[in-house]
Amino acid sequence: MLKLVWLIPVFPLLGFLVNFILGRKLRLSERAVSLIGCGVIALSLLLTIGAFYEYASSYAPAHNNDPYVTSGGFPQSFEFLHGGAAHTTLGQAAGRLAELKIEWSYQIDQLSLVMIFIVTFVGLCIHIFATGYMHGDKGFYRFFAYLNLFMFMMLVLVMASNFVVMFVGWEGVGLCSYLLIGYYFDRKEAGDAAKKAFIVNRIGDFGLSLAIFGIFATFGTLNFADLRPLVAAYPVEHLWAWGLMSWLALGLFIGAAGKSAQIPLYIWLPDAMAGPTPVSALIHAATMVTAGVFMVTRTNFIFQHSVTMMMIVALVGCLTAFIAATIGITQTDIKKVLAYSTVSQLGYMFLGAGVGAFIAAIFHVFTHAFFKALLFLGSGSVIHAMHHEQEMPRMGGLKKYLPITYKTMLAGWLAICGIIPFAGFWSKDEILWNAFDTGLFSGAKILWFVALVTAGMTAFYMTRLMWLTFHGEERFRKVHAGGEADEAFASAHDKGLVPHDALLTSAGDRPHHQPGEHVGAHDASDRLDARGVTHAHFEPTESPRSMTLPLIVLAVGSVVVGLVGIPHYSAFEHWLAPVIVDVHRAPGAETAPAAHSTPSTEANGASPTSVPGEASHQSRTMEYLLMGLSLVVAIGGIMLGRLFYEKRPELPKQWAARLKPLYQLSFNKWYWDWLLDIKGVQAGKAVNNALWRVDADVVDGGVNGAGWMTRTGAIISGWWDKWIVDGLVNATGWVARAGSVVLRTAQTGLWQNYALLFVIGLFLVFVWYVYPAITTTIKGLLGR
Amino acid sequence: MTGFLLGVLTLISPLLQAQSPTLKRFEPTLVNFLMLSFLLFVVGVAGVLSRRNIIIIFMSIELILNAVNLNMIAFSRYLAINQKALADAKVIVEPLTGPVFTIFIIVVAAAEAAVGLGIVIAMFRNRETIAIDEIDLLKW
Repeated sequence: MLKLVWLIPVFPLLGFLVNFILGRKLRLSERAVSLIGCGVIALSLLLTIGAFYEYASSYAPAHNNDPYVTSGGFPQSFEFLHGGAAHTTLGQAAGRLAELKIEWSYQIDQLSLVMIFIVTFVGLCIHIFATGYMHGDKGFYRFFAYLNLFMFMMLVLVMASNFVVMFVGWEGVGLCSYLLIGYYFDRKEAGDAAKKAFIVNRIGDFGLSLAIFGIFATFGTLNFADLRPLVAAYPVEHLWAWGLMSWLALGLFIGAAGKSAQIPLYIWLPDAMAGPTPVSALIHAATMVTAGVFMVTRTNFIFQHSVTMMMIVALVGCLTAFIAATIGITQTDIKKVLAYSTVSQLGYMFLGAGVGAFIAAIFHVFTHAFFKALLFLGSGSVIHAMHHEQEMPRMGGLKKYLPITYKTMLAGWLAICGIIPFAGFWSKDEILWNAFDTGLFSGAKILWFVALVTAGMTAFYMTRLMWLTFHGEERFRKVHAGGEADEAFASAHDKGLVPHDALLTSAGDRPHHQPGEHVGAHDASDRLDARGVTHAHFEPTESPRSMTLPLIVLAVGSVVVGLVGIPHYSAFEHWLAPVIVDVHRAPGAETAPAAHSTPSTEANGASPTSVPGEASHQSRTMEYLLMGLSLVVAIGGIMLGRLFYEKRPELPKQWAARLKPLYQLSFNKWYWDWLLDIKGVQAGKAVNNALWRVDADVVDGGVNGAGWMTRTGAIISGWWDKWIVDGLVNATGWVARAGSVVLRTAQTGLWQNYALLFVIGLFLVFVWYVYPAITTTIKGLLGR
Repeated sequence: MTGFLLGVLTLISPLLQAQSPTLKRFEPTLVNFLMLSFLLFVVGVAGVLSRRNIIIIFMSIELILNAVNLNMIAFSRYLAINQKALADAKVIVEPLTGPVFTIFIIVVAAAEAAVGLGIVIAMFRNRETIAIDEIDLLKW
C-alpha cells in the first residue's frame, strides 16, 4: 500500500480535471458532480488509512522511524528541476547550482500521515456537506472542481519531501483559496477579498522564498530528510544571538505568518468569509491555514537552532491569539466571529511551536481541524436555514428549529472552550502547560498568562455566539432577516445603483440574485417592507441529511480525538516524537518535552537534563494544577457569557458604552485594516496612478509625438512640394503666359505692321554698315 | 522722312554749292542717280506701309521695284570698268549687265502684280473689302 501513496493526491486531481473540463461541456448533473467530487476524496482517505496502517505496523519499526520517500508515481525519479548545463559545462564555477536536483517526490512519515489524515477525513466531511449547501447553485461543477484542486494542492504540500514540491503545493493552495473565496465572482466584495488573500499570502511567500534560497545556498540540498543531519552540525544560536539559522527561520516564519494569518498578515482571513461556508470550513479553518504550523514543524530542526526566533514565534503567536480574541468579542457576523476564533487558535499553535512544543502544536491542529470545521459547518447549516442571513442580531431562538445543528454545535462549542473531556481541552492545555514550563527563554510565563486570559475570552465569545444564535428571542421575526432577500439590494449596492441601507454590514457568502428579484421562501404572511421589496417571512427548518451527517461525524470526532493526546498516556506524542529534533540539552535547562517524553525519544539526544524522578513529579503536580486552572477559566468565561447574553441581556450594551474606546477598538479590528488601506493600498494606488500617468503622458506622449512629428513633416513636405517645387514649374508656365500676353500684342494681324518692322530692321542694318561713313560725313559737314 | 530729306538735300546740293562766276555745266554723277533711286524707294516704302487701299500698295511696290531698276541702270552706266570701256570704245558700246537685270525685275514685277491681284480678287470675294487693315485674321 505504501507504494501507492502517490495516488493519494492524484485522485483529487482527476476529480478536478473531470469536473472542470467535463462539468461544463456535458452539463453533468449535481449528482454526478458530487459523486465524482466526494468519491475521489473517499478513495484518497482509504489509501491514507492503508498507508497509515502499513507505515505504522511494518515500515517504521523496520527502518528506525525513518520517513518513507517515494517518487511521485513516476517509474523513475523525476527531476523536474535540476542544474542543467551547469552540471557539465561550468564545473567548479557553477558552485552550488550544479548540485541543484529537485525531484518530485513524496515523504511519508509520522507528521505527514497525521496531516494527510486530517486533510482527507475532514475534507471528505466538508465535501459531503457542500453537496447539500451548494445545492441549486449555478456553478456547482466549478465549486467541486476547485475544491478537488485544493485537495490536490494541499496533499502535495503535506506530502512533499523537499522544499520545492512543498512550495508548489503552498502556492497552489493560495491559488485555490483565491478561486474559492472569489467564487461568487459577481460580487465586488468577494473579488476584493480574494485578491486581498492572495496578495497578503504572497507577501509571506516572499520571506519563504528567501529562506529556501538561503537554505539551498548554505546546505546545497532542499530535501527534508537530507537537511536534518546537515543542520544538526550547526551550533545552536542561543537567546539574543542572531546568525544564519535565525535568518533562515525568520524567512520561514514570515511565510508561515502569511499563510496562517498571524499578525501582521492576518487581515485576509476575516475578509475571506465572503466565500461559501464550506470553503471557509475547509480552507480557512481546518487545512490551509494550518499549513504554516505544519511547515514550522516540518522544519523544526532549523527553528530549534535559533532560540531568538522561537521566542519571536511564541510572542507573535501569543499576541495574535490575544488580539484576535478581543476582536471576536464584538463582531456580529457569525462567520466573522469564527474567523477571528480561527486566527486566535492559530496563534495558540504558533505559541506552542515557539516554546518548543511542536507536537502539542500539531495536536492542536488535529483537534482544531475537527471542532473548527464542525463549528463552521454548523454555522453554514444555520445560515442555510436562515436563507443566507449571517448577522447574529437577526437570529435567535433557533434551538428548537435546528435540533441536530444545535446539538452538534454544542459539542464543538465545548471543545473550543476547552472543557474536559472534549478535544480542545487536551490540546489547548498541552500548549498552555508547555508555555508555562518551557526552559527555552525566560518570561514565557507572561505568555502563558496572556494565553490563559485569551482562553477565557475564547470561552466568552463562543458562548456569546451560541446564545445569540440558538437561544433567546426569535429576533428574525421582527427585523429584516433572510440574507437572500437582501442580496438583491446588496448586488445593486455593489453596482452603485441603490443605496444599501442594511442595519449592519456583513460580508455575506450569498449566492447572487438580480436586483428586485423575488427570492426566499414566502408564505401568506409576506409583507412589503419600507423599500417595497416583498420580505420573506420564513420558518427555519433543519438542514437536509447531506449536511447534518457530516456535522454528526465531526461532533463525534470533536469528543474523541482529544483522547489520543492525554498527557503521559499520549499515543499522539509517541507517534510524532521522531519528527522533532531535540537540541536543547544544556545542563540545568528543564525542557518540557523531556519531562513528558517516553524513553524512546531520548535515543535522539545526549544525556537527560535534570533528575527525572523528583522534578517530573513536581512538574506533574504543577501541570494538573494548571489544567484545573484553565478549566476554571474556561468555565468562568462560559458563565460570563451566559450572564451577558442569557440572564441579563442589557449588560452587553452597558459595558459597550462604559468601555467605549475599547469597544470601538475591538469592533473596528484595531484599525489595522484601515491603516493598511490608507498607507498601503492608497499609497499603492497613488504609485499606480503616477506610473500610469508616466505611461499615458510620457510614453504614449512620445509615441503620439512621433506620430505628430511624422504628420507635421508630411504636411511641410507636402507644402514644399505643392508650393515650391510645383510652384517653380507653374512659374515657368506663368512666365511663359505672362510673356505671351505681352508679346502677342505684336501679332496685330495687320500686314503693314509687319512690313514696317521689316523696314525698321533694314534701316538698322543700313545704319550699322554705314555708321562710320555717317560719322565722317557729319564731322565733315560740321568741320567745314 | 529722314531719307527723304537727305535725298532732297543731295539733289539740290549743286544749288547749295557756292555760286561761282562761271556757270558750270551740271554733270550728273552716280550719287545723284542713286539718290534719286533712293528717294523713289523711300516713297514706295512709305506708300506700302501707310496706305489702306491694297491697289495703292501694289503701286507702291511697283515703285520700289522701279527704284531698284534705276539703281541697276545707274550702276551699269557709272561703274569704273564700264567708264573705261566707254572711253576706249571706238563705237559706242552699252554695257549689258544692268539692263538685263532690269528686264528680269520688270518681268518678275509683272508676274507678281498679276498674282497679287488674283489674291486681291479672292480676298475681295471673301471679305468684301480691299482695305488691308480690315484683314487681320492673324491677329492674336
